[in-house]
Amino acid sequence: MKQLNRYLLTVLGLGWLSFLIAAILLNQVFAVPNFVLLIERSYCPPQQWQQVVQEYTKLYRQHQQLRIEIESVVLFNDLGEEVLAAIPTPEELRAKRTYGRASSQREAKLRTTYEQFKIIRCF
Amino acid sequence: MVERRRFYFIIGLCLALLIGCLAEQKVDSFASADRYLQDKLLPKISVAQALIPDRVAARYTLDGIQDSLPPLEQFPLYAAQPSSNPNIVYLEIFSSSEKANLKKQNERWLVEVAQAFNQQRKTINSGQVIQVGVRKIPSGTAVRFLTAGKVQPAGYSPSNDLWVAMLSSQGVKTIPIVARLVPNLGGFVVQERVYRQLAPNGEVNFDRLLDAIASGKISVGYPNPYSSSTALNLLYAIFWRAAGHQADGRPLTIADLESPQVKSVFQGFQEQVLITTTTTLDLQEIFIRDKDKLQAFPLEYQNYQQLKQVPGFEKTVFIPFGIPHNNPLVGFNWNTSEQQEALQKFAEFASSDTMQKLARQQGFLETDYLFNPKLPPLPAGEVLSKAQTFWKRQKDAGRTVYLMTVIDTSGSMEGKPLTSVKEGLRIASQEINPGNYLGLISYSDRPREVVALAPFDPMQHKRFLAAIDDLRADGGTAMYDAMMVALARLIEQKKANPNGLFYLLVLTDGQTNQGFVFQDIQDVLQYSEVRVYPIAYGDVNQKELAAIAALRESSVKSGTPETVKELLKGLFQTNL
Repeated sequence: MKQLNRYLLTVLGLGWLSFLIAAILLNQVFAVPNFVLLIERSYCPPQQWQQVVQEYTKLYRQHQQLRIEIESVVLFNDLGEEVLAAIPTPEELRAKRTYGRASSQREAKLRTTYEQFKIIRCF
Repeated sequence: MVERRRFYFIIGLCLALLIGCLAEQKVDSFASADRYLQDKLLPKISVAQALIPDRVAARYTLDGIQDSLPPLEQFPLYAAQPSSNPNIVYLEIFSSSEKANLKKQNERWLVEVAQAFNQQRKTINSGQVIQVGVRKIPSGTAVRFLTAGKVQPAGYSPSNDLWVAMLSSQGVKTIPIVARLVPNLGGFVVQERVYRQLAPNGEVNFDRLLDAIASGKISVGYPNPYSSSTALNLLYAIFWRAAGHQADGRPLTIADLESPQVKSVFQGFQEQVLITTTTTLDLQEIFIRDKDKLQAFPLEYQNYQQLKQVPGFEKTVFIPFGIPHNNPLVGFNWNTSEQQEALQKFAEFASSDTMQKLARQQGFLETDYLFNPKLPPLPAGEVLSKAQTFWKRQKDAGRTVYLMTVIDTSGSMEGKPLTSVKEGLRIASQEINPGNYLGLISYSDRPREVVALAPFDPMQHKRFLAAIDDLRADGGTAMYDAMMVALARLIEQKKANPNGLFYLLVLTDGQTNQGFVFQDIQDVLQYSEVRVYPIAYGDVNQKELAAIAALRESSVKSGTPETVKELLKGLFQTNL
């Protein structure tokens, strides 16, 4: 009886373990890419800002469909940076003011702060 | 059965009538204020329509209006008075208010220095005794006097070097005497709650604050940069920083002002400006009263030392900006050699340890900020004049301003009071940006609409000038009736352009004795979304005017026939 119990427990344990390993492997192989989105908000004429918003809209939709994960959105220019409290909707981003100048220094600092990031900017 | 029905019907009818009679139309929104104004107030007001015909207005020209300076006597002269004694070399020094205000214990340093100096009866090489008088005059006003060539003081000590640069660029040659009489600086007074919100992301300096303002997180107010040293310094600091000169250390140029990056920061900043006042005192009042709306305003550090003692300001933080306020002392090339020598001796005395100790006691302290090697350099005066013009042109960040001017022409305004107001309005009319809307209503026994609210162009300007000429004093004071008519015109425009800025300027010299009273119109004013600027011009009900001002981020301005011209000019300059 004792041997049977041990056998049962071993089978169960190995079963769960293999499930766990499979889950980890699947998670690694088919993982949803996640990143911090850096948006440069230095002065951008309205039409060009619209293009930035369009680019963001694509990412936002993918985020909603769980195809990507935007961890957070950071707006920056030469005057400062702002980590938004929540992922903004495209309309909310459109309403944001663009002002000031681009700052390569701040961008470099942000690149080192966040391991996984993506940058969108006005061209 | 029929009788019972009839009984209930009569009871119901009575109740409905009773409720109908007792229930007031409630005013608790813009729409209900508009309805109440249209239904309940305007029908009871008799308005005289006396619009200036265009053929009359066309006779007026716009070239002849001269910006008259206020009388110099309006600015008090302390310590020694002018002397014709040949044994005395007399120096008159124009000084900024924060060190020449005898009425305030901690703002009279230069006057006390002059008094101590005069007592010692120091002499120059010729044996003449030096006597110094100090005239308290705002730095910007002093520049206007000096560039007009109307006065020739021996010395000038503004709050900061920006005014000296402006003088030089306008052809008034100055001779440096002392680079810094006393140390001071300009900065933002910020509510502690706001400071704490910004603090987690690192040191809160001017850049961080400017970023928070330009991105729409903080609302600020500031005084007129044409007259306030701190406001002019703030303007320069914003432009200089927005142009990215903190990286290269170069001064601001005129070309910088045209760059879209600089404009974008300025526009973002201006969109957050709740109010531009004629004085810093107005800002302090609004800051205490409307904490949620006005979260920061600029002030000099020396004033801030005293302000921190005032209830309501204990928990505020000071964030410095711009160039130091060095309080330089300069002489002029019209000085005699004796005056120059005397000025030098006075400067040495003012720089002595004893006098500097006195300065520290009055809040002129050397702070770490003054030793920062990366402070903005001094720009050319032309750049500052351009920056002021830029501010005037762009201050409303694309929004249209609508202003109804409501002027008391009751019998008590007869003579100098009305003449001064008319002259003031004439001068102030030059300060209006084209495209903004202006209208004029005068009132005595009843309101009289003389200029319809319309965009300001040369023809509207002429209508305004003709209407000013036509103002006559007579009758009683139906102030609230006139305000309601003006309000109706503004509300009409607000419905068409909700993003505009709507102001009502009301000047009164007495108690309202005709038409509606304050209680009748209070709610309508409150929900009208129109800011009222009351000018108390005589024996008025201060309490009522203060209540009107408090409805929407404003303060009561007091005017006299001597000061009203400058007051109106300042109000038009900052609001239109």
